[in-house]
Amino acid sequence: MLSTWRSGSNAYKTSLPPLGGRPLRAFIGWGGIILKDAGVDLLAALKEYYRAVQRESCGRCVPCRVGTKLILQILEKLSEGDQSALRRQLKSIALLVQQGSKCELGQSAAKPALDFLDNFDRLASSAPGEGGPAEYKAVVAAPCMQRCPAHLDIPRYMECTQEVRFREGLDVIRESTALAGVLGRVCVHPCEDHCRRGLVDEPLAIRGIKRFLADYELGRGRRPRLDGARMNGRPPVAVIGAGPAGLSCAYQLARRGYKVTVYEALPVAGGMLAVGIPPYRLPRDILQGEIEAIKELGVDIQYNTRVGREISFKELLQSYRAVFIATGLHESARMGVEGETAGYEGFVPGVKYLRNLNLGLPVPRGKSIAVVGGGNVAMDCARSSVRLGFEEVYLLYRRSRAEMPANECEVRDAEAEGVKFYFQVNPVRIVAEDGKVKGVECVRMELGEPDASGRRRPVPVPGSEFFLSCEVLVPAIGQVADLSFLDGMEGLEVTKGGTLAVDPVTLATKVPGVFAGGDIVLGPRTVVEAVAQGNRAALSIDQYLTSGKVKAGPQDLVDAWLKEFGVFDAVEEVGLPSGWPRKEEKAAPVEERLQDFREVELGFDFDDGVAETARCLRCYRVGLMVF
Amino acid sequence: MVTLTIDGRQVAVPEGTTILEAARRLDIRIPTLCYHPLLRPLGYCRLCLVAVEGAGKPVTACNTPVAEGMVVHTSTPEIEEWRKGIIEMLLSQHPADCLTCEKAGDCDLQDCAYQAGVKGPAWKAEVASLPVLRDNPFIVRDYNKCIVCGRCVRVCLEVQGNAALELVGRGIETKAGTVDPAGLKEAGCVFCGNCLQVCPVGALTERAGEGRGREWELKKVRSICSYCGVGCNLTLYVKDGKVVKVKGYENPEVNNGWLCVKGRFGFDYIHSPDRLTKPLIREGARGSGNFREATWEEALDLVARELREIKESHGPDVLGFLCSAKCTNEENYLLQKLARGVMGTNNVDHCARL
Amino acid sequence: MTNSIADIAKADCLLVIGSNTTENHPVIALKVKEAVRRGAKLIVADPRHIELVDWAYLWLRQKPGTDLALINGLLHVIVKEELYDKEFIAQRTEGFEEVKLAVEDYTPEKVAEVTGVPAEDIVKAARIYAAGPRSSILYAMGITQHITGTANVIALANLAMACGHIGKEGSGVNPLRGQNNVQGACDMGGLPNVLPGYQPVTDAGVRRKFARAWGVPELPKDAGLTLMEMMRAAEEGRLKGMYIMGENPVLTDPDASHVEKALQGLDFLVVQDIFLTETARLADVVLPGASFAEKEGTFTNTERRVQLVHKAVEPPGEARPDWQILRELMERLGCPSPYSSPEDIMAEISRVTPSYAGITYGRLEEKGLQWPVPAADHPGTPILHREKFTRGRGLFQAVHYLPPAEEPDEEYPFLFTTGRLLYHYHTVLSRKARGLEEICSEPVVEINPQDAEGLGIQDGQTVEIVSRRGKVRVKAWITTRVPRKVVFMSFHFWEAAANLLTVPALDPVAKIPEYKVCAVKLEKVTA
Repeated sequence: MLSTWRSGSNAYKTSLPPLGGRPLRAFIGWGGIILKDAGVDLLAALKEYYRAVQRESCGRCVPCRVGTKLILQILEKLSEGDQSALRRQLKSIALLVQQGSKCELGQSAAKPALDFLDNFDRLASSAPGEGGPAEYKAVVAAPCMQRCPAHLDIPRYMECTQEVRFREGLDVIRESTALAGVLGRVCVHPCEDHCRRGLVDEPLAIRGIKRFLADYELGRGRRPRLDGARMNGRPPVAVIGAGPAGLSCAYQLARRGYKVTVYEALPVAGGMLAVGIPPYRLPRDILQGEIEAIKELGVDIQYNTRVGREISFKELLQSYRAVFIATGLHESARMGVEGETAGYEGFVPGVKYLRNLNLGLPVPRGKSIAVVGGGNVAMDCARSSVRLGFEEVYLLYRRSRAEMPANECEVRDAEAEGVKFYFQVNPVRIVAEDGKVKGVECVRMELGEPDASGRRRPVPVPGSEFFLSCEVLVPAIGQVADLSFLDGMEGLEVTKGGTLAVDPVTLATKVPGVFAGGDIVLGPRTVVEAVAQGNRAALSIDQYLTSGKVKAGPQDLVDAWLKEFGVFDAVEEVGLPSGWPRKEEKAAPVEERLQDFREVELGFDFDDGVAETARCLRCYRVGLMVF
Repeated sequence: MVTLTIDGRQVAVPEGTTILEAARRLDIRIPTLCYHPLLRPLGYCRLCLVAVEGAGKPVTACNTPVAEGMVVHTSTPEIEEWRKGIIEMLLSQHPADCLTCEKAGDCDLQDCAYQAGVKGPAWKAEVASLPVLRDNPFIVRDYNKCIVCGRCVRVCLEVQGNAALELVGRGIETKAGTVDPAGLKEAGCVFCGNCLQVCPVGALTERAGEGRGREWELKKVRSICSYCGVGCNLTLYVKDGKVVKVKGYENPEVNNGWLCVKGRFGFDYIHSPDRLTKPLIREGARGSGNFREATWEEALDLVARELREIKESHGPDVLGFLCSAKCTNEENYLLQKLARGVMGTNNVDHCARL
Repeated sequence: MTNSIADIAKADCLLVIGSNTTENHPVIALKVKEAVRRGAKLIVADPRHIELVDWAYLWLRQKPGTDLALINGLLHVIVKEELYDKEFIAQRTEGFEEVKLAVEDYTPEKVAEVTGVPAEDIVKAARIYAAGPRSSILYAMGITQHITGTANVIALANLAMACGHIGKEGSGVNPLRGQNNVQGACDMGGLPNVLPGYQPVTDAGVRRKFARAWGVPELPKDAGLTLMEMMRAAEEGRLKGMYIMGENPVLTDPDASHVEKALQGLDFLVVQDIFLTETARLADVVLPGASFAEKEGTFTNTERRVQLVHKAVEPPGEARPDWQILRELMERLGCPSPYSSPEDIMAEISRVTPSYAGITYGRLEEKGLQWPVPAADHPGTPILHREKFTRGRGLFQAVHYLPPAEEPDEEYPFLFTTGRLLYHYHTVLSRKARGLEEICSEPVVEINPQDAEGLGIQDGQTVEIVSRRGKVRVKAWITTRVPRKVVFMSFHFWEAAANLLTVPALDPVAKIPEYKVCAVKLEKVTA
């Protein structure tokens, strides 16, 4: 066993997970060499590694383009016979590749050669080739890309933007999602948490650049354009729900030439994007423009068609050989307090509140409103209320600010817009008069023992009850599914949490040809996770309709392996000078934005957008699995 | 303003300035190959690597913005070694035919290698030899000499807005090329030749100038393009009384050095064998095209006599004068002066409307 | 141009109308593209799908010859939606009320009917242009070569003044001039009605000044004939002698066969040129001049920038710089011309031309100077009309749409329009450049695929184009660049001279021929 691979704790990494059950004999990559089986011919594997690096090298910078080729040539000479002069040359070239390459691909690719030289004596005494002929598999990873649930090729579209090849950048994004303008606005961008630039100063504005590219297309007077194959005569596919998961599945299938029909209960497509997220975060023309582009690929959306009402689930199964269920969570969770089911005027659950608002249906009005909850839906309810003209907007949350699940920027904007926060407060009773909400009785909370999620559980402080006067009360503490449309369907499993059970990789249910994804499977989660599941379901459906079987593919295995092995090292010393701050997107001033539901964030202008991408370290890394 | 120290000297520059620009203010020379002042810096060639105190790795000066308090060293022994190494790497895949290369004497790679004292590569990278492309009348493309600086691609995309060029291939095989492998015209090239103007090496050269003079033999004369009304500034390259090639002159107010196909490649009418070389006097019927050569004395005397006679017998207004939108201001001034002041007619016009 | 070339990139909105900029002013097109890249909204108004259309935010595909209706339509929307700049109009202009009334009838719906541009696009374009905040107009011969050419330009000026988009950085009205020194030739008095610097020949004071400077007793006081009028006069025997320097009217003037006839009828014709052009072939005496590379002098570009050319090579054989030829001739005609160099001539020009007063060769060397340069220490004028217009207040003038002089009818069902190509310029120089000739050696006529199908014409087949005045044979290029019922051809090629077909109808003010519209029929040429 030899490992030159240091992980964050500075200890050598020795664990080498198997790939889909198949054990690895060695791994050569960005952190060095992990050799489990001394019988591996390391020199041969190294040559294979540098061949892979040459294949992946974009060729722009000299050290990576030429240097890694020279490393390969010297390794070939070395396998003819060792010469210390060759090793000296190898070392100086590898050092230059490491120090001088433009991006992480080249910089990290020098490490195996240097580690090989550092351990030359030890390795020379091993017994190469004894373990029999090796098999190789090269992998390419980038921390941001691996962290993104939809695996967007982030470094590539950053580079396209940097080189002002915007059209190409959009095409890269659209490999993974049709919703560039949407995700460019509302994605919670987990990728930015795994951005190595963040280890130097601040992470790249990855989401902002996505928006920049989408906006640039619109700014040129163009409509979003998606490319796809012609209809190929394969069996038609049904998708239930035109939310981000359903649309993504439909998009990816349409690109492969499938005829897809999407059944949507509401009069608009977009799911929570259309009836949950308010327009000041996601203007409707942006969303509808991208949905139109999906429709132009041949996707048919049947509006006002609730499965279980206008058409039964059984009928769908008869008419289509594959169905993707992506109905989402459109019911609010109950608070479990007195008066919740009394039908008081002025009481409206958060999901319904937003839905009505977005569909132009009536919502209770008044001077004061209290929103209960600490997630993004609660923020959306509160910030929308400010725009509706409520003079007092309260937000009640049972834990402290630090524990709020809502995005920090949402909380900050809500504060700036005048929302009054009550932390560590929980409602206990709705107070009404003549069937109208008058206020809510609350109790103060304190932190108790940690619960299953690891967070300390808030418990009421006895005797701390107080009354908060309000005319409207909106609970937004969570969402649940309405699965009534599946009534009488056998074989579909429902979890304890009230979601559908599926194979976590292929998203297949127990019923052949039926797949499910998005919030209906994950619970209330993010848009990008819904997109990822929609994409994955399309892959499974394609597999199912072409081969009749569904199983995890090679990329699934690699993704799972990379996740286990780890691509991002949160304590890495990147070694670059800091002080190149992230560009911030422009935002409308508070007094302007509160006039109506106009967009708050305004995106990057040309100069800032292109300049921001210059900060990208392009952290592609090449790895070589040896079996 | 941001204050930083470069090679021990302090300088204050506006935020967003790159290290390279800041160094140039101090007249500190950092070698570059892919950098071009009129194009976005992308840090391809790595020749401008500098050391920043407190950072483990060197950074490229061309596209790293300065930061407050930054301490930069542009020429440590280590940095010099790396630069040499990079040049050696470039030479390891570059043909060693400087003796006959069109670009000799005007080649950035040659200059960089010379200044860094690099004698030649220790290794020769194994690369396939590529055919030299002459698929159009204007530009010779020898991608064996391409150093992948990307300037041609950037100028085509960012200046010409044409996107006919891109970097093709991976790894050591990477070269500039056309988006359609069939050729320049097929890729949508409009032959502005601005790629050729920014190419630092002999990969892109003028076909018309091939074998017609070495850089140091050519006289350079500033001029203005003779085609359209934009007035692009030119440099004419002259040898033995002939214009052998044209480059754009960087007048930032007008064309910034950029040209179009006519301005850059359409100059050889100057030396057309069809040029008129002697005054001609008509023989035979008008329009028959029969002329005899005459001396200037004879021709000018004839013109003066005829003009005077027509004026004397019919008055000045039976004469008409056409100025030229191709001639100089001074010449047009003289012609209208001749018409008005000497002959006494306002019948003066030119093709302004055509 | 009211503004500078570099200024184009600063606009937030660019309206390009009647200019195929990427082919005719390629380096200015780079600035347009730069502006678009930075987020400017580009509105292209052109009947043809020119390259800039692919860069446009909005493409207005008007029928050829309907520009005035379109421009007035834009102004109608701006008036109706009150998008105009009240302050600018009040402080800097006069006559707006009249124009306001005049454009009342140009509703988007009516204009859509005339121009073929959808009404909603007219409204959209008007809003974008008015919103700016910096909006600039670029136009070229597609606007001027009509019988309403002058009115078209006035309409554009109305539009710009109404929105206050003039006299400011990034906001102006910018004609893109054709030939390299067409601006200079105009500046130098190469026009029948003005002396250098646009000083009217009808002004006695001006005439006195020039007569004194030139040492002659007096100068003619009535405006002379324009080129087209000279041709007509020659044909009618009223013009006896002509002196043509560096022009080829036989190929460039409309209704070319008439021009040739007119020149044939002269008693005496002198042509001074560098090639034996179609026109020179008709001359009694041909004088060999020098190309730009063979002499010193100045050219004035489209942004009014006076720039120096230097002598790089000797003229071939006995050819001489044109200024020397003229100097010799003037001496022979009794006018002492003691110029030893073009610099001496410029010294005289700056003495008599106020807008060139501050120009000396020494000041031009690095970047040139944009006139007006009223004094030796004046830095030149990159933007015109900053504080006030030349006449004081900017004058709005009501102008109205008129259909072209000759429209397609049953006999001649196609609308014929002409222009330039990227690889050539006019009729001579580029055709003597080997590379340009190699890459673009023969004329083509652009025909819409649907029309071609109707006529049974295949791509590359020869067609005969016939107008009431003549016919040419040329290869067909089947392309959607042109709309249905419109055919386009360049006028560079003597082999198929487009101007044998064009109509000699003139704009009544500027006397510009209507090159952009006439009626033709197409016939397939068999075998």
